[in-house]
Amino acid sequence: MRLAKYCVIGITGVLFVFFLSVLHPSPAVDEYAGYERRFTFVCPLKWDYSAYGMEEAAKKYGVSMKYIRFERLNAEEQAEAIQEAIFENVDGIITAGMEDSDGLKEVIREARRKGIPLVLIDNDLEDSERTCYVGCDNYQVGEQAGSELAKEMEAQAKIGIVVSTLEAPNQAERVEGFQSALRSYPGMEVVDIQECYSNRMLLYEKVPKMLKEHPEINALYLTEGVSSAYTGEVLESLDVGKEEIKIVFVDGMGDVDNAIRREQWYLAGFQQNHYAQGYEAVETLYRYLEGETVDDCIYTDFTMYTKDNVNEVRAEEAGEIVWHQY
Amino acid sequence: MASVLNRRSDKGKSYSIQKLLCQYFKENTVIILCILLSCILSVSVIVIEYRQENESMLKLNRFYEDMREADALLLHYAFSEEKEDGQQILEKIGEIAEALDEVWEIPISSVFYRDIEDIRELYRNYYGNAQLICEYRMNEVAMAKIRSAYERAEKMAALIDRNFQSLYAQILHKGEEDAARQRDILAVCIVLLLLCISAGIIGQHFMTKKLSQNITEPIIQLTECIREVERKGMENAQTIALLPGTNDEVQILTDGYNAMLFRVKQQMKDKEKYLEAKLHLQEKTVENLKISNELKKAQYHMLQMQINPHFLFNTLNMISQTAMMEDMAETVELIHCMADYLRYILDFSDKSVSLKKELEMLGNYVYLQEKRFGDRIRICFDLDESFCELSVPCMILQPLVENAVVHGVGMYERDARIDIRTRRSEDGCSGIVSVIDNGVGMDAGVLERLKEDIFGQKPTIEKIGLSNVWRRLNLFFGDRISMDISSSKGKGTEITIVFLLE
Repeated sequence: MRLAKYCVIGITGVLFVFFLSVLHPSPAVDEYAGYERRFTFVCPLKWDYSAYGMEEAAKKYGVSMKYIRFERLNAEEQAEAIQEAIFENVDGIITAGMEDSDGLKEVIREARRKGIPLVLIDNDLEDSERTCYVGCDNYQVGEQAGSELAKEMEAQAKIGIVVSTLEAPNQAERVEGFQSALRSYPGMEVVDIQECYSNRMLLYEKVPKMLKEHPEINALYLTEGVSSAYTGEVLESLDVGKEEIKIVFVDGMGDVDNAIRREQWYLAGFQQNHYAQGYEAVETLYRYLEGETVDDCIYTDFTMYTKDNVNEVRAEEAGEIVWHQY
Repeated sequence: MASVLNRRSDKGKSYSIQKLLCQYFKENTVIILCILLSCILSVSVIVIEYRQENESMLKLNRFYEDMREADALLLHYAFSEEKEDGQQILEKIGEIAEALDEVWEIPISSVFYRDIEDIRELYRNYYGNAQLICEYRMNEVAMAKIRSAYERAEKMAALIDRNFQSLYAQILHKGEEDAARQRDILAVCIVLLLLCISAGIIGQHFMTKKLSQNITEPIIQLTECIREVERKGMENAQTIALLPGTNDEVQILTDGYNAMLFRVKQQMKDKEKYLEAKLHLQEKTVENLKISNELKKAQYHMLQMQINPHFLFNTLNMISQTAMMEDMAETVELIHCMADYLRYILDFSDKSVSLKKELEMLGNYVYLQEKRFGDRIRICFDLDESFCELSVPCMILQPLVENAVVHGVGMYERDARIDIRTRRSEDGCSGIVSVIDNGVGMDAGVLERLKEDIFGQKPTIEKIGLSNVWRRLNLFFGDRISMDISSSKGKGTEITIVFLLE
């Protein structure tokens, strides 16, 4: 009967798997829907770190988050998505003020009319009717970038600046802060500013053009993620020497970490704390809905990273986020 | 044999092959059932999961179709010339909420529920606008207002549609995940099934082995042994020793076979013994025949010598009377001796006599011989009387003395001497009779030939005297007698007969 025993064990195993797979308690509707408030994050591009911070805060406060993102930077689509959220009568909206567009401002006004609080992160629209801004002090970031570059170049440089668009207030502030820092260094001169609209193709077009028109440029200041990530590629395709051009940038992504480690062009980056921005945004909305008064501006920290501390700063990881792509 | 008898006695236990087979089939059935059950379970798992996915799709589709239908009706209602019942439209739109509730029941993920919540809000918005349209139509408000309300409703419908795509994608995604999970489950099920099947096969293998060990093996052994018996014959057959632990019908057959073999072997042994005894008997008979033959021969020789004994006796009587009448006392004496001696020969030749009688008669013979040879020969008796009652064949000593006279001392002119002695051996177990002469003797070669003639297997008719004596003694006493002749040239001969006394 030893065999029968083996068989019984085998069958028990099969039954076990059977129960696990079929009769395992499928999550009840209540479990999935056990939230009190619905927030929507309308994200101009894809900000996993911020979304992750929001997710963490949402878990803490029992909030359902919906993440909407777009393929391209487009203020109109962004405004439409916010409008949809207003139609959906959500409890709170988070977005990033990209361009200083009227459409966006209009829809923010609409939200206020409907009594839906709206938080801007990363990029403020100062004359909009947003409830609160959560992000870093871009002017200060610009200042620090300027002084760092001056220090590294020994106060002598011809500088080209690449921004997403100067219409975006955060970009403008970063440039302003940068320029204000340069005022105390007469040897530092900004010779050109280019807008790439966070578009890789435009970047490939505009950077070579700028370098051709101004061959004296020996330093670059990149104020946003896409240009930070891909300018290295552009320089490589142009066969620019390792020491010919130095770069400081804000919001690096992609392969910039390795470039910093190799000291190839990239000198220093400024990392916003995206996670904190997301987290703070959700927390602020929640507190606002609970009836607390919230500050008009909440500044989150940022970190400068060079080859010395790149590993520590860039170690943070984003969790899995389900995006609704429009 | 004891074990065989024991096994015979407990007949209650003798159905173990049946039991074994039953158990075998039972276990087999269990294994097959187990495998079937696991197959059914695996299939049912997959079917159930598949149905779940299908149901979700159907629910979602129903919602979608309802939405489309209601939207078309709303369009028709908003801008048609005829006046229709707005309440019907609103009821139709209300049904969408039920469909949405059903979609809500599908367990997918928190994102899915969030989307449904949003759709529900959009739907409320849509419903509000539809109500507005109905109101406007009822109150026959200007077309422009109806149009703007319809546009808002359409906007909502479009947004719902977009969200619906998201739901659809999520269900599909869930379906894919489920399919992947099903594949995993299927893989596990298959592995378990394979394990079950292989365990079953291995188990069956061992079971079959055990079965063949218990049933087939003994039968094969039995068959082999019986074949061996046919080939080699009963006497060389081995008893069958089965593997230990078997206690079934085959064991009983085997025990029966062993018992039969045992008996047959015993009978064969008995028969062998019988044959041996018979052979022995035959030998004995032959020996007896030989003895009687020898006796007859001796009688024949006696008869030869006994030619008309009555005539001889009558003649001797007549001579004796004549001699008495003529007053010849010595002659009468001699004739008497002669007559006695002859009578002894004639009366006792085929009988045994005591050694005493034999010696007495030998005395008659010696007297006659002394008369014949006068002083030339002296014959002396030196007797030990202690074994004189020993019975011996008659006429055994006379040939020895005659021999000594004729061949030993016959040529001597004087001083010839023959000693006849009887005595016991030193240990007292045997009686020794010896006839010694101081005659011419023989050299070693002649003695050897003589001995061969006497004691050899081939009796020679010529040397009738000694060899006849020896054969008769041998026939009479068997192993209990021995005879020896010793002689040296010029010194004499000694013939010794040794009787082993009881």
